[in-house]
Amino acid sequence: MTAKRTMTLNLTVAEMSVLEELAKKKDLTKTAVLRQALRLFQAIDLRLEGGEKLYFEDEATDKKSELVVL
Amino acid sequence: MSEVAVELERRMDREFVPATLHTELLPANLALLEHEWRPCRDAVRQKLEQAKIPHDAWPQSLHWNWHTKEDYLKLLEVRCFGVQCDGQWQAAMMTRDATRFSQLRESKNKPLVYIEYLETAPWNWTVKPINQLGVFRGLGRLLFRQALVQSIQAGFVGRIGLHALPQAESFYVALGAKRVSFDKTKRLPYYELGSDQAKELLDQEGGAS
Repeated sequence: MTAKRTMTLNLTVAEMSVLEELAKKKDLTKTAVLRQALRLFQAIDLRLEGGEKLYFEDEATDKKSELVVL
Repeated sequence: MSEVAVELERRMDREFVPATLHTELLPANLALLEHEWRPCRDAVRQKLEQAKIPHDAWPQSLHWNWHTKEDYLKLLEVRCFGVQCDGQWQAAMMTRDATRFSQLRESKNKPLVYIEYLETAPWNWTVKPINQLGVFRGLGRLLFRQALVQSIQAGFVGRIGLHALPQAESFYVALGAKRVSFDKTKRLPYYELGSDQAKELLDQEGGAS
């Protein structure tokens, strides 16, 4: 198994509330949500670094908007 | 690399032989794997050409190259599995677990393990037009089951998604995957294994260990 390291994470009430909401919505533990978020962030970041852009598309209205990630 | 002892069925004599499932392949493993498979890929292609077999009857992963997929392993969400036996790589699978989500109504937008690539070594392909019988059987099922285990370990209750090559559709259907849509961009059908089907499959095979 891959070696694991432990960290303590301090969240604001609002952040924890969103984390709990996402965990409930996605049927995941809070740890799993944070792991997913890290994987997703890295995947997006690498593609942006490679010069690609991230868009959201609404098929119903044919509206496309770029998501700017800082 | 993490390793799990498994057994493979040799088609010729139906004997089960010991093999190793590696659950964290490294870029160097993919280079070696393709180095092992390439001569056999080329030989299969040559036989198909000599026999004048139409291209639509050729194995649909014949052009794949695992060496070119090394860069994907930079991503945390990407994992690669491989089975080794007789000192050679017999099959490989690459999965993603963060950027694909369920399209099934009952689990819409929930995360799943997406099988990006799954392929057995070319000598394990059964290619009827050139009378080739695969050496080992059951490798696809073994790796698909591993994706299921990964899905359960990640908290995705066994959900799996994949785009199937047309020649592999019946294989995935037999494992319980449902055709969800046709992806116009990839020009391939998209399949998912839901949590209920995942449970059934695991029950048939004696659990997720």
